[in-house]
Amino acid sequence: MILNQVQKIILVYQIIFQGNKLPIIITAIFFFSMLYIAFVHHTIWTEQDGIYYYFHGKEFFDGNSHNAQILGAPMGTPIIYVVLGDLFGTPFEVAKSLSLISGTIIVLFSYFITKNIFGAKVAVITQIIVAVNTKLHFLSISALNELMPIALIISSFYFLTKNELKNSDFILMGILLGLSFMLRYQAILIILGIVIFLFIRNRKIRYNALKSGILILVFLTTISPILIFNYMTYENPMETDSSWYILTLFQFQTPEWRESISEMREEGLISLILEDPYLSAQNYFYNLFSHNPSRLFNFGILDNISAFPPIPILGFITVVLGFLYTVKISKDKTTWITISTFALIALLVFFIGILASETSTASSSEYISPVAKSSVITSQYYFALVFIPLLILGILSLKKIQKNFLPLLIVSTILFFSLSIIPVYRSYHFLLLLIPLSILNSIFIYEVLPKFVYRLKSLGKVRN
Amino acid sequence: MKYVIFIIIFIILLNVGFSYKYFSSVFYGDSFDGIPSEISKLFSSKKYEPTTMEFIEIVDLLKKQPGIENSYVMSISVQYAYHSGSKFLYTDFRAGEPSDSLNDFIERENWSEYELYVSNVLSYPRDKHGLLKPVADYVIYSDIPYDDNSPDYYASEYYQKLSNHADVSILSNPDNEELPSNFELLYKSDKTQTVIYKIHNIEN
Repeated sequence: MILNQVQKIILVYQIIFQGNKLPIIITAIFFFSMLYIAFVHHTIWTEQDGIYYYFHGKEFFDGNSHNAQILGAPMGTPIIYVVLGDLFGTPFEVAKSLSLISGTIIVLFSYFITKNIFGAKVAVITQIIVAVNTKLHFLSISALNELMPIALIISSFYFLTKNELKNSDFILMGILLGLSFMLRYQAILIILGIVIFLFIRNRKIRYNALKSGILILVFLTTISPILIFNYMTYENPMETDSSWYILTLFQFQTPEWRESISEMREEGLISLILEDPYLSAQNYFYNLFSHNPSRLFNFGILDNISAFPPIPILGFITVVLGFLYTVKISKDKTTWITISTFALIALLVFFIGILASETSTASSSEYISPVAKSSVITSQYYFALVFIPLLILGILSLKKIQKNFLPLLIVSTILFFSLSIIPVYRSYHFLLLLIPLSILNSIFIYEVLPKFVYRLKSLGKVRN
Repeated sequence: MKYVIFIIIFIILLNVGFSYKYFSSVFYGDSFDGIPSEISKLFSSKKYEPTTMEFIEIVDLLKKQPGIENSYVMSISVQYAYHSGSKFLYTDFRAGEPSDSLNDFIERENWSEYELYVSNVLSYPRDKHGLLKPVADYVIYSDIPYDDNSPDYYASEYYQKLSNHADVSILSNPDNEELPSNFELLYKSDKTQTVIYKIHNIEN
């Protein structure tokens, strides 16, 4: 009987990994290394956010939820922390273990997601890049409410990147994203990205609407407990307070605007943004093109998720080259003229828009000469000069992108644009992008680099 | 293929090295002093003190305070209250009026409605509707400069530079004669400049 079970497990293992032991070895090394750090070196709970959510769970079970206001997340994690923490008597160890398991799931799934798209070799490289990422290490040993929702979303990517999407895949995605939503709200952006993908992948509108309907229905059913709880407790199904984040994090503010926002905390994100649309736009573009990219690629900030974290810009270059290979960039003039035009338009819009504005923000209260101002603008929005043409190129090349890699790129773009509402103050808030970025890095390593070296060698031979 | 393997090994070494330094910095206060120095460090027998030593000292001190479980510890960091079993009163020390005295600040006398709300929803027990009216029994303060690379700091430069609030920087100097007499110094760290005061009732 036991022998039968063991044989079955071995058979399943062989089918899944097809004799490739590397993914399991990489995952095991990751797990045991992080286990060692988490339980030998990280012995005291000092993560404020983790304790904040634990205390929030306590309030829930003490019946004080009506007098509490949770910031930045729904009640899922606080409840899990208290239930499991009290069950095992060690909330810190429970929270760390949940992070460790989530980190391990991310490492394992990074292999399967990439294997779905580019095969086993690129998948192993991707898995290595993911497994050695410092921010993933940090989150995997920390008692924080970060990795569980990310692990659930990344698990859903496995189904999203399958060659043929069946109804069961949409149901599983809906469940996983719903569970993630109960821990952190960002899963809703993934739903949005998937729906956009479904509608642009082909012209079968009715078919795609049906698939979107299944996904949204399952998602809503899964999240219904948290929506009902929020509505019954706070009379708002999506209870959160964005004003605190906006007032604390926005780079450009005015005293009058601060006063208005502090009085509008019940009114929701849209109202807060519309209170001063120009100031919001100024902050948004600063976040989108200056602050947030640096958290991704190290444009001077060590806290980043680049594949080369201590080396500025290098991770960005490898991702761009991987992307250019993925979109199979053509050499025809029309593409290059379009890209250059968009780059110029973007540049002009930023220059004219900001030079013309006389809004007295904190940063512009002192006189700055137009020349100096121009150089500040250029240094702030340099990322746009590369990012916008790449985005246009991506849109023009939608049909050339591998069809099961496209959803990951669309979801990542939606996430990047949406998260830029606030300056992402910790690089790990972008950790979801680690998978697509690592895949692009792997493409660079496995496809672009050998070709580049081959070309160089050929050139050398021709000269000789 | 050898270039592929080379760059993968480079990424592994770079990232594992970065993680190693990151964790040794977070857990043991180690710093990066260049590659030759890092290699020699690997073979040295120097033992690093955990960065949590001071934190444990503070928590032990708080735990010994009579009635700590019913006392409010005012601080930016909730972890002192969690480990000492006290209640927690949140502040990032950017509240009140510039003209406020330290006692005005501690009693949240002239805090705006929004400042009180933020403090109340981040304190423990939570007090969104301001029903509890907590008063600080202890205050933990450390004046650390802003560092964009530190994961502990998140507020924007604008927020960090706000000056239209009470000036509590005097707390970092226990010898200052302007410090109110009801502030009893319990602890001062020379390493992190963290100070802890017990706040006595003014009537006493």
